[in-house]
Amino acid sequence: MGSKASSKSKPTGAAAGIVLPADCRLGALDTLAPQLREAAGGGAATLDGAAVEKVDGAAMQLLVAFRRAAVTAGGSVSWAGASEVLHEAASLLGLGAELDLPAVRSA
Amino acid sequence: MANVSMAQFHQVFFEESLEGLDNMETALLALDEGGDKELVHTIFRAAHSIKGGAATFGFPEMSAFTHEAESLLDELRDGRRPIDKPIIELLLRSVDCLRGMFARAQAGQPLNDEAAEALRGELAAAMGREAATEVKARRSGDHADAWVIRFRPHPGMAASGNDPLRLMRELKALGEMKVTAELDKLPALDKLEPGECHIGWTIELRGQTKRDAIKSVFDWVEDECDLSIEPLHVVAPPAAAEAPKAAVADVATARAAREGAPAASAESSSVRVSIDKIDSMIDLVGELVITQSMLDQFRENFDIAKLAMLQEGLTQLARHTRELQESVMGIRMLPIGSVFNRFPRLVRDLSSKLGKNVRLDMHGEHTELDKTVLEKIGDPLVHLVRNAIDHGLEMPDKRRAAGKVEQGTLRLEAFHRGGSIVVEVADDGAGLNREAIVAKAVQRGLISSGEGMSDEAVAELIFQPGFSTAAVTTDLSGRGVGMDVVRRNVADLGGSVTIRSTPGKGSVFTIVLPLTLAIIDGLSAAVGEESYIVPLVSIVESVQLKPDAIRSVAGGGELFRFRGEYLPVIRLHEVFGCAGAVKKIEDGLMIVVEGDGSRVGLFVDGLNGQQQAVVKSLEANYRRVQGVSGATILADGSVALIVDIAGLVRLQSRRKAA
Repeated sequence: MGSKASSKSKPTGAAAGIVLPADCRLGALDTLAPQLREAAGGGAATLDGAAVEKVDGAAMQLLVAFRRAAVTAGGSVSWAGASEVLHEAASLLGLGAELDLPAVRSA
Repeated sequence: MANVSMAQFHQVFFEESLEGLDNMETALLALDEGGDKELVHTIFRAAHSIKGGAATFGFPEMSAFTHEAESLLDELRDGRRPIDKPIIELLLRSVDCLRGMFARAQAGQPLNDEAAEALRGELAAAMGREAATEVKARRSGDHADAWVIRFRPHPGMAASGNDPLRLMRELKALGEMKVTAELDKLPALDKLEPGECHIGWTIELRGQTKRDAIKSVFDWVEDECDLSIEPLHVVAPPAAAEAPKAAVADVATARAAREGAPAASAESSSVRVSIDKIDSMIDLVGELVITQSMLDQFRENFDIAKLAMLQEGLTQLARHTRELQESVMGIRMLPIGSVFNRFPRLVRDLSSKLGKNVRLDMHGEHTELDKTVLEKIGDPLVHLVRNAIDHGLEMPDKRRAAGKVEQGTLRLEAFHRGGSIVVEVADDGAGLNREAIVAKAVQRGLISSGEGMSDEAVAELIFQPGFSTAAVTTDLSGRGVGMDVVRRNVADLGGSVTIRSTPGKGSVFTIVLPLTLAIIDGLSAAVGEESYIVPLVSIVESVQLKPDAIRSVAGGGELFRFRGEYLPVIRLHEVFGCAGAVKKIEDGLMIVVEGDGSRVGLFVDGLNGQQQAVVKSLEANYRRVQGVSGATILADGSVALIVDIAGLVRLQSRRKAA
């Protein structure tokens, strides 16, 4: 999972891959939200949260809404990686199950 | 089912802990009197067991409270802190507080109350910890071991820079968290405005945390969220709440008993029996089985030559049955010491409150008494003891002026006399003040003047309802609801209260109680075709009267002369409406009985003989009948009513007054 760059999106055919930025807080959501809305249209989406160093409640809420929307639309969401910070936030907010973060954490 | 078994454990835990608290109290009082320092170990052990039990059975508040007391005791034990009056006082109050907690636990109520919080703060303060804030615990439930926090941010909360995640992180520092997110209000992705909060949370926070600490986490967002913080109570299973409640008799039950309210609910319905008693019962049952098999052989081939053996067998059967009966009755017998135990504390508290110097002298704590009687005698005794300290014993200066030692003595004694238990409450105080009583009685219209009244008759006046001569009504006694209720409560137990008083020397209240309520010794009396049982304890004697011994008085009553005084006549056949009864005085028998402090003559046809009657409740099987305390089944299978002498006397005096 070497993609540490702050690249915004990598549309790869049917599957949408979204890399979450290192600072994944309210300020970044204006950019992230449209990507997520686009990716939630159906099909398999991949989230990469391995690079996340800062996160807040608003971002976590957005991720939950995204995952729900994707699943409702008949698609699926998988994680390419999730940082320690992301795990901690999910656990603190009681969203671990909802987000279904991967057990193995990428650095 | 799991709940039921847990409730059973709870009950045992409650009983043992209350016993432990009693021991703690006794040891603390002994320590207060300058007792052996070893007693601290006893107290510590009791506190330690309660703490452990409370934690095991899911009463964290109780466990936390006891923990504070235990820490203090630990310091006393190690000699790090001197044992002084304030500490003993604090620990005694902790014992009271724990009793209150147990009462609430049994009733399924929240354990902590304001007083408990404050006291816990005091305990902590005594050890120099967190004193300032803890003592100030203002609201009930300011302190708990677990909390439920419901937190729902308003949508705009995040926009003002308040991140729920940060709040959660701060909360986590306070204890172990279990977070449940509530996503019901979360809009669909395309409707979601990323800057708005739409998730709510329910957080269970475990750890010794104060409400204020939790609240301070949310200080900045108070206006931007809905927030509730409640202590998380370990809810006792319903079976536990319904479980019989042990005798955690406190002041409230005293009042309930006084008002005749059903205090029975506060009484324990289990009894601990020593193995010895059970073993002896098993032995007796063994004997009974042997006798039965011996008698069995006569059923098949009986011939008259074996008559002697048969008779011997029947005698043996009778003996074993009687022994077994006594043994079974003995199970319900408990030493009166369990009631006496509360008095050292009571006397100590009262006397220091009133500035009196009182020594308590207790004897006969091992005297055994039926459990039911025992549970119900506590309140009347408390009343008598309070009265003795409040009204009977004088202030030290008065005692000195009267040439007595400054320290007054209060004697509490129990002993067997005949088939009864006698409990005496005696003080060496001023005795009854005849003038004050007479003046009060005249003022209340009970008598027109005290002239010609014997001292006994004057003393009897204090048992009148609403009678109180206390110059100043204190919160201890003097509300004038005392002695009449004491007498009635004791009468309800089939007992009696009398008073002997010597001016300047003191008073003795004597309570005579039956050994058991389940069986009474009585005389079976015939009235018409019916039989009535007259309790033996109430009978003075029986006499046959001549026709001219009866005097009719205005208003239809009858009197007869008995040992220098005139006693009213109660014709049982008139009271109970028995047909075919003897009407002529010379054909019947007059049983002189004593009840409710006065004597009357019961007119019956004749006596059938003495017998033991197993009391069956009439109230439970039919309804309450005035003048009848119960029923019993006679050897021929017929039912006989047991006469309630005190009730009859009251009935008679009411009729007289009407």
